[in-house]
Amino acid sequence: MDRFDKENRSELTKPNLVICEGKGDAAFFRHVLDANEISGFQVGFPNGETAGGKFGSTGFGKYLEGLKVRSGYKTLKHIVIARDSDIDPSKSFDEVCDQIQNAGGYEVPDKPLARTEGKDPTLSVLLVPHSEKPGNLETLFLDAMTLDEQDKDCFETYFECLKLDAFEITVSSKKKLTTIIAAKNDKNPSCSLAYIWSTEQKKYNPINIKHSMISNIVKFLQSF
Amino acid sequence: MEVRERVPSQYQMIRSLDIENFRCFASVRAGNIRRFTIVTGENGSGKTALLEALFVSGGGSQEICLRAGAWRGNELIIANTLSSASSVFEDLFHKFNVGAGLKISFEDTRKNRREVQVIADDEVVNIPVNSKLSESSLLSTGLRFFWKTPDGDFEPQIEVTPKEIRVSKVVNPYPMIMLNQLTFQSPIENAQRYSDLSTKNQEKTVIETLQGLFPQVEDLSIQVKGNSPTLFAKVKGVDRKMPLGLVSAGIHKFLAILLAITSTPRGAVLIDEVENGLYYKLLTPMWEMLMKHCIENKCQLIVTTHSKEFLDSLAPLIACNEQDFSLLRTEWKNGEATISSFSGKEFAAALKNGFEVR
Repeated sequence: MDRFDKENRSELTKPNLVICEGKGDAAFFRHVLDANEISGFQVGFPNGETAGGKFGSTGFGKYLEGLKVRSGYKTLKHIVIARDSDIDPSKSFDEVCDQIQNAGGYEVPDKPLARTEGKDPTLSVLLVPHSEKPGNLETLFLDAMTLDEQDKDCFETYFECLKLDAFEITVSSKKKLTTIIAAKNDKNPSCSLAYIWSTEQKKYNPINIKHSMISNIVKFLQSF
Repeated sequence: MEVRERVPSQYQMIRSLDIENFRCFASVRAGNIRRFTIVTGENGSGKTALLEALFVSGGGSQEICLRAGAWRGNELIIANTLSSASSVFEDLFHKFNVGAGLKISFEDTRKNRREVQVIADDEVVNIPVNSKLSESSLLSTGLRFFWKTPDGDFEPQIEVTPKEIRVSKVVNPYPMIMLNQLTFQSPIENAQRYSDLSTKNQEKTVIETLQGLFPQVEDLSIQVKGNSPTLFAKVKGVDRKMPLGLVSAGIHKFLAILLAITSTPRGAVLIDEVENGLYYKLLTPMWEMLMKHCIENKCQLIVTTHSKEFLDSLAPLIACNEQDFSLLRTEWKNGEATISSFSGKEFAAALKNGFEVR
């Protein structure tokens, strides 16, 4: 069990909780919170297979249902559910809302980033990369990438040659990000998103944590 | 002890429990109690007190309170210094406040209600029977115990003398067994329960279940060891029968639970710290077998645990039987104990996600 699993399972001790789709997302949110000294959050993600045999965004309902039983739940003031916009941000938001409703005991937000009213914990949904932009965490990272012009041209030519944009953005973003990470990382070309924020990988990580796309997320988290 | 014969009501599984001024609880309610109820919580948060509350309200006289006290190390010694009923029973009351009285009640799935109430009564006075006391008067406030059951209301009378405790007008108890570190290994009780089963030719199921987990046990029998009936096991490869406790503490414990379940049809078995002494790989199959026996005997199982391993071993069983399970968690905060109740569905979801629920 690594530190993300431990944080995901242990007693709740912070007033706020970010629930994201998986360990890669959890590593990103943990890094963003630490880098910006936002201390009032714990980060978690659904564990195990859902009834439909899928992980990630389909597991929010069961996560919320079980969360009520987790030690320290009574200390919780707010929950942020962070999920990929995927192909249709509006549909993705509605899917999360259905899961919140089915979990029972929670108010359902009426739009992305809006905070529910009523008893604690209140709840809000954060779509990644943005409420109105299709894509996923990888799309956000591509937008927040710092590359020199030569590398940039090189990657664009390569992606064009492979016709990666013919794929849906959720797929093409993953293909592109994996390619860039592999090209830029001399020590661990297959570095996963859960490990990319570690101190050892810092000098190979091309993602700019100070980028405005990420700053929007930081501002949102700082509002709690 | 005088036990009036009457036909008791048929209870159908305890569903909720209300406690007022008992041990660490000021006023709490535990709803959503199911056939298999798991109780978690930190040390000193009230897990054992919760079981004791059920046990005391299920009892038929004040004697059950004395036994619950003895399990906590307050063994009642009928000695010359005994002078006050309230001092004997004061540890039952929240913050030892005897004057506030106490009330515990539970309701079953048929809405049958059973309640025990203890009140201090100035009109009832205890006078010590002790010739060696020098003071002219040592009168103390008395206590009155009431049980309200579907069969009527009862007020058992207790008389504590330097030689014995006399109880009269005893209530029919709720079928309930409490297993803890002191009662698990009670050779006489286990032998008695096995003997009762054997008399009815029903011991085969128990032996077969035991062999399912511990194939080395070939047979069980009751032997007299030093004037006391004791359960012995015939073990493969050993040419003489052995007291079960010598074979294995884990086997003994499993059998004690099994016998308690089969001896308590339409009742409840309460187990404090269920996981102690059991090998981790056997926990899931053991529970599967206990669940089967509980369902066959219409018996309820309410257990406390500190063990993550035990909870993990239950996870696959809870996932398939959500309606039959619930979790109660006791917490101690700001000087008060509380109880939170969770459904089997919520409990299963929490275990599936690996959450800390203890």
